[in-house]
Amino acid sequence: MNKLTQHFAIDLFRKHHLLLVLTVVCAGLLLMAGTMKIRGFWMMALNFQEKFGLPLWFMFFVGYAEVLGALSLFLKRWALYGSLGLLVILAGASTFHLINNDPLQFAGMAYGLLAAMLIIFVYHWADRSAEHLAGQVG
Amino acid sequence: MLRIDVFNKGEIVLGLIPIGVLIVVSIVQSYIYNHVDTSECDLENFAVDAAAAWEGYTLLPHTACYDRLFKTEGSGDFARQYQRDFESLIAENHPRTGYKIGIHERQQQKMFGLDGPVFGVFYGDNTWHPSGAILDVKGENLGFEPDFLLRIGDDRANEATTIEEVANYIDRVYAFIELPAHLADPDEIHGAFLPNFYTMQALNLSVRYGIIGDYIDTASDPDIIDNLRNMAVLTTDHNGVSTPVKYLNQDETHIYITAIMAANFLKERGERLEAGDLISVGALGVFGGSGPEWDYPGIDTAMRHVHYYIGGRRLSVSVGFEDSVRGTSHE
Repeated sequence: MNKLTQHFAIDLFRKHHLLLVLTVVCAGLLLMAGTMKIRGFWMMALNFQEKFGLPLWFMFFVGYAEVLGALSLFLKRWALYGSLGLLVILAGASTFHLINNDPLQFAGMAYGLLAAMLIIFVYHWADRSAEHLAGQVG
Repeated sequence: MLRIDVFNKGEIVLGLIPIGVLIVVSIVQSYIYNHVDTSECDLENFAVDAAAAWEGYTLLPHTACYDRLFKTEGSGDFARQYQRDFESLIAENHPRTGYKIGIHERQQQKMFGLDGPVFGVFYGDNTWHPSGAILDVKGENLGFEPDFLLRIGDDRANEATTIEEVANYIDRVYAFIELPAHLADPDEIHGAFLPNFYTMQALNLSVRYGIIGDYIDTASDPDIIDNLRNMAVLTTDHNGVSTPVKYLNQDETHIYITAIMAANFLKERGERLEAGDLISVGALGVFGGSGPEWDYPGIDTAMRHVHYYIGGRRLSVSVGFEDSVRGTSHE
C-alpha cells in the first residue's frame, strides 16, 4: 500500500473527492478520444485535415498525448505536468472549435474538459506547492 | 498558495523526451496511414470499374488509389467529368429516375473540403420504394440518410434564381429516405463509409434507392417556404430511440436552393429539369450526431422512421431491412 501511495496520487484523491471524480471522468473521455485518434478513425482524420487544416501526424500526436496525459493524471510525480500538457491541448482544441463556430454538440466536450482540466491542474499545483513549502520549512 | 518554483527543470526536460519520441512516431504512423500506391490504378479505367461495381452490387476495386487521385486533384468539376463517363455506361441499360444534391450547406462543404455542392443522378428500375417497404440490402454497403424530396412542377424552374422564384415551380415535397449503396471499399479507406467527397462525386454519390413517404402539395400551403425553413426532422428506430433532431432554421440556406443547384448542374450538361423530375435533398440528419449503427442499415433489420414537422403537419416515411446475401430477415 505504501508503494501505491508513493507512486499514485491516492492521498490527494482521498483528500479531494472532487479531484477524484474529475480525474476519472476526464481520463475516461480522453482515453476514448485519444484512442480514436491513434486508430485513425476516419471522421477524426476528416476533421483534422479538411476542417481544421492540420496535418495528419498532428492528429496521431494529439491522440498519444491524450492517452499518456490521461494516465499521468493518476501518477503523483507526473499529474502536474500531465494536466498542464492536457490543458494546452484542450485550449488548442477549444480555440479551433470557436474559430470554426462549431455547435455545442461537437465542441461541448472540449469546452467541458478544458474547464475540468483547469481545476485538476490547480489542485495538483496547489498540492505540489504545499509539499514544496513543507519541505522548505522542514 | 501556488508557487512557480515547483516546476522542476529536470522533470520538464525528462517530460520533453517522450514528447519528441511521440512526434517521430506520429510522423511515421501518418506516412504509413497515408501511403497509397497510385500506380495500381488509372483514372482511364475508373468509369468501367465503377460501372462494373454498380451493376454487380459490389465494391469499387482500387478504392484507395482512386480516392487519392480524386483527392489530389481536389476539384468538383474534374470529378464530375469522370462521373459522367461512369453514368454514360449505366445509362445504356437503366432509365434515369431522379437527381440528388448533396452538401448544399457551405459549412458542410468546408467540413468535407469541397469547393461546392455535389450532384448525383439516380438510375435503375427499382429506385423508388413506398413507405413501409422492407428493402433487401443484397449484401450492399447501404447508407441511411433522412433526406427530403422535391418534385418539379414546371420547367420554368430552370430559369429561377431565387428561393421565392423556384418555389413557384416545385409542386410537391415528400418525406424521403435515401439509401445510397456505397461503392467505395471501406476496408481500403480505414473503415470509413464514405471516401473523399470528390471521389463520392465521381461515384455519382453512390445513389441507388429511395423510400418515398407522405407528401404536401405545395399549393395547399401558402406558407410553405417559411414552414420548410422551420422544419424539424426526427429519425427514430423501431424502439423510438432517436438520433438528434435536425432543425433546418439552423442552416444558412433554404432547401429549395437545391432545385436551383440541380438546374445549374444540368445546364452544364446541356440539359434541363422537366416537370415531374424528382430531386433528393440531404442528408437532413445531424452529421456525426449518431453512432455508426445508424449509418449501416445492413446490420439492423428493424424498422426505421423519419418524421418531418412542417408547419402544423407531420410527414412520415418508414423503411425496414433484410439481407438475402448476409442471410438476415426483417424482425
